[in-house]
Amino acid sequence: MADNPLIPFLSSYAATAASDSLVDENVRIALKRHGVQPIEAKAPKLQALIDNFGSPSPVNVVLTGTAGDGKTYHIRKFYLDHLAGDEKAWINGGGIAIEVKLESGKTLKIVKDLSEVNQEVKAQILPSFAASLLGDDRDTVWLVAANDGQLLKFWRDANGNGSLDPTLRQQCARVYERIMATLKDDLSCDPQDVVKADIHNLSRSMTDELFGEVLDSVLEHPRWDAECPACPAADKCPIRINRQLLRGKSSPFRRRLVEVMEISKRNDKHLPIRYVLVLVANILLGDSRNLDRPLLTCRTARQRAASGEYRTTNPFNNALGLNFRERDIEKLPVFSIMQSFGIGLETNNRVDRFLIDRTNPALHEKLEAIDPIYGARLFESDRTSYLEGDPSADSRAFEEAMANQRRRLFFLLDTPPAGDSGPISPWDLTIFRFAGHYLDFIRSLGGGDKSVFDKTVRSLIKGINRTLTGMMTEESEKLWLARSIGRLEGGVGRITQSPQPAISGGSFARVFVDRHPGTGRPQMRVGMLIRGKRDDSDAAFDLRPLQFEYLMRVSEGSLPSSFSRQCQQELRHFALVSAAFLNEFSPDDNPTVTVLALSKTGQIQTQTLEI
Amino acid sequence: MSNNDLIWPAKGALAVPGHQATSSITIWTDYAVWGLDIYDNQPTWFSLIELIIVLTDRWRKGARLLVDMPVDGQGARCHEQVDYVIYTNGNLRHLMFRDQDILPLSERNTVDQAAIWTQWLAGVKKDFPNLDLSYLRTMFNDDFNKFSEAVGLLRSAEVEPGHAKRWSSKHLLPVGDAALFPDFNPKAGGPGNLDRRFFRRSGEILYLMLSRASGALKDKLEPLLGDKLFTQSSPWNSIAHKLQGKDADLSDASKFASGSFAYLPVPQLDRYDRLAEDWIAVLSHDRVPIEDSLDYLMRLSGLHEVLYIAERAAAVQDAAEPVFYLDMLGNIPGNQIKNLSLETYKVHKNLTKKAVEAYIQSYFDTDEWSSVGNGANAVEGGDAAQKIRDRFLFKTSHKQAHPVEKEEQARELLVAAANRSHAIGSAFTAHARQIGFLSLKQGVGGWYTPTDALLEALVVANVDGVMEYGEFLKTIYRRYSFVVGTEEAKAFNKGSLPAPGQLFVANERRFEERLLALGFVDRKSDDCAFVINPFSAGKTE
Repeated sequence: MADNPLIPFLSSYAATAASDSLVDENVRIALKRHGVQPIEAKAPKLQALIDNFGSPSPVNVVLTGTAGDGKTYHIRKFYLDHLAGDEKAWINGGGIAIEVKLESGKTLKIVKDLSEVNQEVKAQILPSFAASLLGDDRDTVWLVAANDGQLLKFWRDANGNGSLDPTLRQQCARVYERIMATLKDDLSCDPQDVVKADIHNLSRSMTDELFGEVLDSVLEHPRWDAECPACPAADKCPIRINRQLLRGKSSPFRRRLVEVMEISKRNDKHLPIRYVLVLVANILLGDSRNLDRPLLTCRTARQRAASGEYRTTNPFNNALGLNFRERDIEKLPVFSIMQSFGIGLETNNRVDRFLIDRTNPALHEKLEAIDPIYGARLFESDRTSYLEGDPSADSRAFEEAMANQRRRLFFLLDTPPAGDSGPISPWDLTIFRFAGHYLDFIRSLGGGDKSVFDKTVRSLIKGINRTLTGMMTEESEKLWLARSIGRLEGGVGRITQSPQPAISGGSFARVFVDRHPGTGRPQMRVGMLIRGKRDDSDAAFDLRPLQFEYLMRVSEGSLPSSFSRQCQQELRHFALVSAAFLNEFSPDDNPTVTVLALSKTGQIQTQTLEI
Repeated sequence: MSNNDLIWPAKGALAVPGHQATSSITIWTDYAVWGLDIYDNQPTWFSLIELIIVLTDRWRKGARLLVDMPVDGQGARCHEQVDYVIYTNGNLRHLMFRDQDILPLSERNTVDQAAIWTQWLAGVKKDFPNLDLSYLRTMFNDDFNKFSEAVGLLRSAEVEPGHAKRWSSKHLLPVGDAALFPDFNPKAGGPGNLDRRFFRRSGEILYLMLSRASGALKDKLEPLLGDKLFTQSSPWNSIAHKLQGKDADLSDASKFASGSFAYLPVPQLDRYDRLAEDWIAVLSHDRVPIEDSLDYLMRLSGLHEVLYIAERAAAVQDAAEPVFYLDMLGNIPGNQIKNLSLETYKVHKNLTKKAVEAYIQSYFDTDEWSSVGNGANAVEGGDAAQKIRDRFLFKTSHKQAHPVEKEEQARELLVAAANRSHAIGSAFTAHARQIGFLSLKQGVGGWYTPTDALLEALVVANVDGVMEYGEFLKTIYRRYSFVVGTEEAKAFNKGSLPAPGQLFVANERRFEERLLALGFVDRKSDDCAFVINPFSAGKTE
């Protein structure tokens, strides 16, 4: 029987995951070696390029992102397909600026890859590039591909080049400073509009829709239906079984992966397209039987199907890359990211009781209906021998089996509704117990569910108060920006000198939580709200999943100093800068120092010292 | 009486001024090279306090905060002469460091405040009849709890709490003029004297360094000092004022006059400018409270002092400028970076020893010395002894009755210089450890590895807003000769690497992780990371 050529083609993704030119190369690999229609790589920013350069007043565009994220691919597609560019000019255009006339009459200069440009050419293009970016030359626009480090280096080197004209150098310094400010805050354009450019980071372009599209481009490839039906093992094939679990928008496995991607993204661990391709390929083909051969082939898949041996093709383990050696994971960063969640290693009594004692038969049936292969079928013998108390049983094997079941549970459970702590939350199985809550919180920002928003902000405030004061206070309405004199008490404070901003109520000093436009993360700031007008402190406390997790756990009772030095430090900085801001507004005629203490009921008591 | 004019100057050094008190000096070798005095038993906090005491005195007098070098008749620069006073501030000091009754009394928490005041004041009168603290009752409106709260708060600002046993050597964070005390030896029944047991002019040295920075830097620094240290009174200073009582009235208060001042040999060095730049950078942060700024200033001043010691040692003997390998990797096997660091520490210590030898040798190479006869007789021995005493303030074992030959006396001088207690190498080690720069372990040696507090000070002083990580590493290499990663290692070693490249890469990564844990780093991608100073002023265009 013939093998499905799609399989070895997918294998090549995982094997060459470290390769830079994955996106471009794969077109040729697909056709030449496997005779397979290529997986249409998406160019998520292509439309933005078309719209921008087609408009009467286009702006400069810089495409950044790590190698392999499709910068050059985007530009090639745009140039050849939409500008009807000259193929030969493209091939010879490495290391120079290709010139094209746009519909609007403006000149477009294209640099395929800034890192390919040598010093001479860099010096040549510098004045024009700077002039366009600073808006001095509005008739020329630029489209440049460069990763962020390269882009900064280009301007930094120009600024430091003694042989350049001083005015030009000053311009370069300005551009450097503005680009740095833009990149630092994860924005796509200069907030002060000094540098006129859109900066698209292709490493960060992953969205729910795009994720689904990438998955579908693999899972709904025509070859599945063209080749597999001829194979006798088709209905028992582990690859097809794994595929089925991921198919469809409502697949719980897929939905959970999307949520993991969203959390990861907010932790600044982005999953560009090529990572997602490696991930889905491995979920389908991963095989942990032989570490030297981590992927299934049609042949080995048939063997598994024949013997009904599915233990090693577990897609929930494959999602974490557990079929690879640890040292190989280094070359496959997508799995480092997946493993960093600790899925399967974290648990609680409720989950374990469900798995071992079947405390919720309805839920058990539901999960078996979704996936009849990797649940009870694999686990039953381990479970019963555990319950029977077999002394000869290998405890490590049981723990491993439990971890596998927990992973399955993580990926197949429904997302509990916001604010509902009734059903088991899949996030209890990870180190980010509050990840679900985090996603709900993000949705509640800017006009979403107000009760979720209020409850969460109160918990956050309580967590911050506990961290800054070092006391187990119950205060959740006002923020106590506490500190100590010097460092003698390790950053925990008993005194405050600034007003306490609140989330609501009569005081002018307020706490605000907004969504950052670039990263989509919640950010907390203090500010003054006077007659409806907001005046914000420029220091924001950036709520990444890590910081959110920290504060929620502290608000629930964890000791602030027991983990995450980084969060404590960031809060300390936030408190200092916020206090300085608020003090600018309070008159200094009666300066006081307020000493804090804790009452029996967890309220903060103050002792004011006039000075 | 020694005539300072005859003292042998080190390379590039100013002549020792006539007003410098040298009568109690027994050997002038370390002082000639580095100055009088960088003292090992003066903790770096105390140096900062001493420096601020000098500044405070100038501010009170209405004089310019920093001094300029005077110029003699021929237009050459001469050493400065600075006098200052330190007020005893006895009431506050008693409350801070000698009283033991306030806390237990306040813990009684009774409603009868009047009774507690009476009891406490009676106790004070009994044990310290010369102290009158009754003003505190009025100051705090009869509220003993508030009084005790204020005392407790200020006590938490003690620096070096474990350091000194005597209460007259305990100090507070120098948060303002009311929180400054002299370090002295209290003689029973008398006012006591400045015995220079701990405050031995290391702070005065820092003062001279700042005063000798470039004019442009001083023009920036002086207004900042005036504003941050004196005009903007911190709340802690106000509390201290309240507690001082009568001592706040300086016209009547008891004080000590500092006799003499430090001697700093070299009139101009880049290192002085670096020090001034860091002071300007730290003080320019409006959003950092004074208490935190003082910690940064203590560490950075100590750092520049330590770097000065090594750099000066190298300069005096025309040796290569020192470099400091920062080991971030710790106790992993095969950590060659730590070995490099251990080696360079040994080299630096050795440099200090060799510098003194080179200094002494620079005199022995002169005609004046070679013209002295080498006989073991009263005349020639006496001539040698006189010259050594004049040039180095050192008395050899030569006596008229028991003459010693010149070469033997020379050896005595070298040995005494090398074995001097409180030698500069000891200060180098002690201060480098105190600022969180050097780690020392029995049987292993010393190596350079920064603590979190030092890292924080480095970021605050060197990063205005945001800076690329690579640029930060370049900056600390340029300003402090710190080597962390490959680029700087190559730069120092003329293109080659003294240890495997991957170790330097790991070292850089670990340095970044440390900054991340402190909330100072944001990595955007494999190629781009920023060091962020959260305290930099907001952007205003």
